[in-house]
Amino acid sequence: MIRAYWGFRTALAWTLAFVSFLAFAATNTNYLNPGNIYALIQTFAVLALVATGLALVMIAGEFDLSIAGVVPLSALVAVKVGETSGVGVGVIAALLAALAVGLVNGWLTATFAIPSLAVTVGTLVLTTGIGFAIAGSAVVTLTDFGPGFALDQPILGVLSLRAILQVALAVAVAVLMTWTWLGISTHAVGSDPARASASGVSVPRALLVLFAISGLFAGVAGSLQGVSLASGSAGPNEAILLQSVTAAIIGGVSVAGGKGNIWGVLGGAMLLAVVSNGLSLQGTSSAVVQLINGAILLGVVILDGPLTCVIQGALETSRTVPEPSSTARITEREALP
Amino acid sequence: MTIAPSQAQQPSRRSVETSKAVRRLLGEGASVIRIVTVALFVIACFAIRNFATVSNLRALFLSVALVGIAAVGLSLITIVGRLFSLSISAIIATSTIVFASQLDSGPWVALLAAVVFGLVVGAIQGFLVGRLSTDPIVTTIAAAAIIFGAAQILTGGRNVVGDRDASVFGSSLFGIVPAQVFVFFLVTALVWWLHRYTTVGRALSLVGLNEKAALVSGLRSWPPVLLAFAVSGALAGLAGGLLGSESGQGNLQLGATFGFDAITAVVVGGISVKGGQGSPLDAAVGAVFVGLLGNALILVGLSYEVQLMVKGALVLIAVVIAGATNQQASFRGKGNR
Repeated sequence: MIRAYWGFRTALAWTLAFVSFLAFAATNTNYLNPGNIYALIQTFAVLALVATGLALVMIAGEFDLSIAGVVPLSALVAVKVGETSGVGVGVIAALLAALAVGLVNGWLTATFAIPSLAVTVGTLVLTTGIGFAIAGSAVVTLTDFGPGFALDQPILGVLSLRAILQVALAVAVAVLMTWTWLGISTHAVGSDPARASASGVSVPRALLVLFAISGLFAGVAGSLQGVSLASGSAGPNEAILLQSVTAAIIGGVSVAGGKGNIWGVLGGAMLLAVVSNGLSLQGTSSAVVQLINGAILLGVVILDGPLTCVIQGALETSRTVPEPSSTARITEREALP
Repeated sequence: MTIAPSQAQQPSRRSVETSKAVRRLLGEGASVIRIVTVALFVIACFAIRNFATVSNLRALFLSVALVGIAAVGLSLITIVGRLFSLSISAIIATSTIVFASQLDSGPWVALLAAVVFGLVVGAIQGFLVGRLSTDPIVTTIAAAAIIFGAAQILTGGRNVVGDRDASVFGSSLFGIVPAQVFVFFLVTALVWWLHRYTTVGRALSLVGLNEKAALVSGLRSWPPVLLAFAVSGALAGLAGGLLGSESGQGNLQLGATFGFDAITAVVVGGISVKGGQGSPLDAAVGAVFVGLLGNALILVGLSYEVQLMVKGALVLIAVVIAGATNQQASFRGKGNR
């Protein structure tokens, strides 16, 4: 029944995304241009990847604020190192840095039984500080635009190498979550760590892996974006944190942990990408888009609880209708003396 | 079947009592921080030239005052068990704009307007988190986005310049103590007294410590939560108003780091992130410690960027120490997450 409910949330997220897409397409003639669809998919890819990483950590009952620092930091590292040693080395350096941050988060949370919120606040401030130490308040640029162009070259008119890579990673994790130990352990750790540990799931190892994935994905998104824009700057990117949390919660991930579905998160990411793309195409300022993002998150968070109650109640009612069965009648007859 | 411990294995009574006393002293992160702060202050007076001058001490406390006010407010949210509020920076920045825009009615009226603005915004978040039981982190992230977005739309991102002179808040009492520092001391003393010696303060701690026990004892959890968020918002508004009075202007870039500085102060001050323990005084001491360390580092010659990294590392260290010495840190349970 739980699976039926969370399947419902996934379906809801994708339905809302599809409906908004149709709404924007109907009201704006330019919406269906290949150029705009390309921009939409670019936005979706970045958000899908980062939101997937965050959702993994949330399903395990934790939270990762540090992605707001890791995404800009990896862009910065990729560009700064790439300027001197080549883009390939730059990206690898950025990924290593992001992975290190994720491992620190996971290790501290697991080993010392500290709420991950406190740990990730620390790593967020730390990564922001490292960013400023590397670049100061200047914008670092990459003189070689070649790799950036290669990453963003339109394939089939609407896709790009960067988008395909990011979406592939997110889908890979979704598949792993549905069909391998990763999904079972993550849900177990998020639902009840004590019981999970007693059943043989290594909670510290699971947390380490999940935070590492979250950090790594934030690093991939950030470094690819840095190479694509050929620039990077220090300072936290709170917008990506806000959008990732929104995408995760829309997709049915519960902040308390134990529930959630990456396919739903992808649906939430698509919904947000469609909305922000449609709004900016209409000329809405980024401030209004941010406001709407915040309002959507607030709305989703308020509605989450009651929605869960309503759906579970409906599912329970549909199951308690008694089914007349022949076996029952036979047993009754046999019971008569 | 019981196994009696042999006499030879029992340690002497006195060493057991001493080690218990030492562990209890070290176990309270708050007392450790107070000792370390005083020790650092004394060491700095002797070891660092120019530290113990009136002008340096004045600058030190001035830099700490506003963050300290925000931290004291934030500590109430942590004590009531709702982790942190991530909207402090947004409230402070918008309060500078509220202050500057109301300045033509007089500096005191403008300050009151900023406080009331913070109070209302905080109370709304407190209602959502307390009454509707939404997740505090996600709610405050959403609120910050909405506040920033709304403020951006209303001001167009421009600087709001106040009409009158607000330098009354820049004056000094007795010629030495700056007005902002005096306000910081006053607010700390007031909130500490309210937390320690009133039933309202006690209710705050009980709800954070064990919400189910509070409920069973007849204490509803949402009034203390609402109060904590409202007071935190009001104090953030106060800090923002004072910040705006420094230049008589308000814009959205002001106070950007105050939110995370306040969280750093609360965590470093030894207040447990799990709630129910600690006092607002600890947050004030934490703020002083972080400012002290920063001041000492600058006098020794380290750059501002290094300070940021040190702050992040401090949060991690403080959180780890709190987690490692917490005797009640049983297995990572769900508890009242």
